[in-house]
Amino acid sequence: MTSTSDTTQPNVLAQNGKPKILGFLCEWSLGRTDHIHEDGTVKGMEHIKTIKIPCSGFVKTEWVTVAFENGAQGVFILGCPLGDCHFNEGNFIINGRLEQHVGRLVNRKIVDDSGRVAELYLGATGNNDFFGQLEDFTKYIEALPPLVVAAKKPRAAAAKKE
Amino acid sequence: MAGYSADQAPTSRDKGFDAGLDGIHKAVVSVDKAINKVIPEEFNPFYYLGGITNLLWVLLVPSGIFLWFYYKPTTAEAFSSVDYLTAQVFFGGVIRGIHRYAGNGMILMAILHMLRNFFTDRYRGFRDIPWVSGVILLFLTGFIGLTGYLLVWDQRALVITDALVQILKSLDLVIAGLGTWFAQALIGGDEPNNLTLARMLFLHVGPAVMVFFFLWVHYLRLHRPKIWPPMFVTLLTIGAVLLAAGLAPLEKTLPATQPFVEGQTALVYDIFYLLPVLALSSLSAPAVMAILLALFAVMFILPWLPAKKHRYINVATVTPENCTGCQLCAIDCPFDAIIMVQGSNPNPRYSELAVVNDDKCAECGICVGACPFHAINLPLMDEYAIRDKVVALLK
Repeated sequence: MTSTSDTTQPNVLAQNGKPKILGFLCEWSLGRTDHIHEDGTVKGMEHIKTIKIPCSGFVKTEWVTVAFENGAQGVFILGCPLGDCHFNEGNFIINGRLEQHVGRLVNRKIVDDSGRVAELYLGATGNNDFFGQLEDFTKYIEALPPLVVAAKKPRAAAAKKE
Repeated sequence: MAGYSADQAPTSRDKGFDAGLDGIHKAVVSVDKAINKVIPEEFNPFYYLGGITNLLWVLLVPSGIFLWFYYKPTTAEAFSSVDYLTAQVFFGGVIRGIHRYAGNGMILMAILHMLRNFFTDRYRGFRDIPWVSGVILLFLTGFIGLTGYLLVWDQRALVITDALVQILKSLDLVIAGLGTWFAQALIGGDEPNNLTLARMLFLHVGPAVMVFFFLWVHYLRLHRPKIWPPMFVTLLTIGAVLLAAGLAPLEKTLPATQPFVEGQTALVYDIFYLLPVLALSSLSAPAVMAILLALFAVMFILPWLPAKKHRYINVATVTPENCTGCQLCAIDCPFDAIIMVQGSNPNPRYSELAVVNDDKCAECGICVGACPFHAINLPLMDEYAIRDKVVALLK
C-alpha cells in the first residue's frame, strides 16, 4: 500500500496509503483519552487527523467544505451521545446542521456520497468503539472512488479581517 | 487576532482548574483528589452530593406515605397513633427511623452540596436558576423537617411550637400585627388546638409536592446533571440509612397532652432542622428571625453579586460589522446568552445586533457554528485559525 504513487492524485492519500480523513473531536465526548497524538493524529491511524473543539456544535459547516476542497476523503464529527451533550443541545444542533449541509454538498457535487460525512456519538465509556467505528469509516471511504474537488471559487468571507 | 492558535487555546475544561481559583476552591479540589486516591473517581461521594440528596428524598417519600397511613392529625390521638406505629406495627419503628435519618441525611447532604458548589464557584452565570431553585429547595426541606417534628406532638413539639410562634411574632416589630397573624395562621389560633396538626400535616406534605416542581426547575438548566449517584454510592447511602434506622431506634418522648416537663433528658434536638429552635436559647427571637431572613436573602441574590475576578476568558465575541441580525446564533444558544438588540446594528441595512451576555455564556461555541457571516467568534478558538488548521492538517 505504501508504494502508491503521489503524482497522479497528490492530495487523496495519506502517508500510510489510506484516504485522508479529518475529524472534529468534542473534548467532552471521549473520556480521558490518550488515543490522539499531540499533532492531532489518531494513534495507529496516521491517515486520520483530528482537531479538538469545545463542543460538536462548534463545528462550522464551512470547515467541512474546506476540508473536502483541500483533499479530505472523509470528515467525521465526534460528539457526545445524543441527549447527553455537556452544553445541552450541541450534538442535536450539529446533527441538524449536517443533515442540511451534506445534502447541499451532494447537490453542489462537491462530494459524491453523503456517507463521506460521518457523525459519531460516543460517551466517556466509548473509547473502545472509537477505533472500531473509525476503521469501519475508513473501509467505507476506501470503497468509494477518490474524491478530487476543484476549488471552484473563493468563499465570500474567507479573508481574515485584521 | 494575531498570536492565537487553536493549538494553544485553553479549553474550557482546562480553564476551570486554572483561572481565578482562590484558596478554598483549591482546598475543595484537593479534598476531592485525596478521596480519589483511596477510592475510584467514579465512586467519590463528593461528586454526587446532589444525587445523594435526591436519593434520600426518594427514600423519604414512600416511608412518609407509610407513616401517613397510620397517622391521625388530632392533638388527642397524634401521639398515640405514632406510638402505636412505632411499637405495634411490623417494622413501623424502623420505617419511622428511615424517615428520620433519611431526612437528617438529606439536609446534611443538601448543605454540603450547596457549600461545595459555592466554593467551587458554580453558582453564577448560567447556573443562576439552579442556585436560586436550590435555595428554595433548601428552605422547603428545612420547613418540611420542622413541621415533621411537630407532627409527632410530643413534648419536643411543644417547645418547637412555642419557638416558632416566638420567632414569627418578632415580625410584629416590623409591621404591627403581621407576626401575630402569621403565627395564628400557622397553628390555627392563639394556642395549639385541634386545627394545628391538620395544618401541620398539610404543611408537611404540601411543600413536599412543591419540592418535585423545584427539582424539575433545578435540573432544567444544568447540563448533564448527576441526578442519581452510581450504584456503589447508592447502596452505601441506603445501607447507612437502614443501619441507622435498625441500630438506633428513635428516642422515646413524652406526649404533649401532659404539661411540659422541665429538664427532660429524652429531648433530642436535630442540629439542622431545629437550629432556629436551639438558637433561641442564646439569642432573642427577633435576632433569629433577622439572621434567617438575612441568610436566605443573601443566598437568593448571590448569583448576581459581582464576581471578584472576571473568570470568563473565552466568551463569544460579536464582530458588529459582520452581523446581519439574522438571530441564528440567538436561537441556537442553549443558555440564552445572546440577545438581539433592536436598532444598534452599525450597518444601516439591518436593525438588530447580536449581543452576548458574558455572564451566561458557557463558551461552547455553538453560536460560532450557527453564524454563516463570520460575525461571532470565540477569541481563543479563532474560527479562521481552525480553518487554517484544517488546510494545514490535510497538506
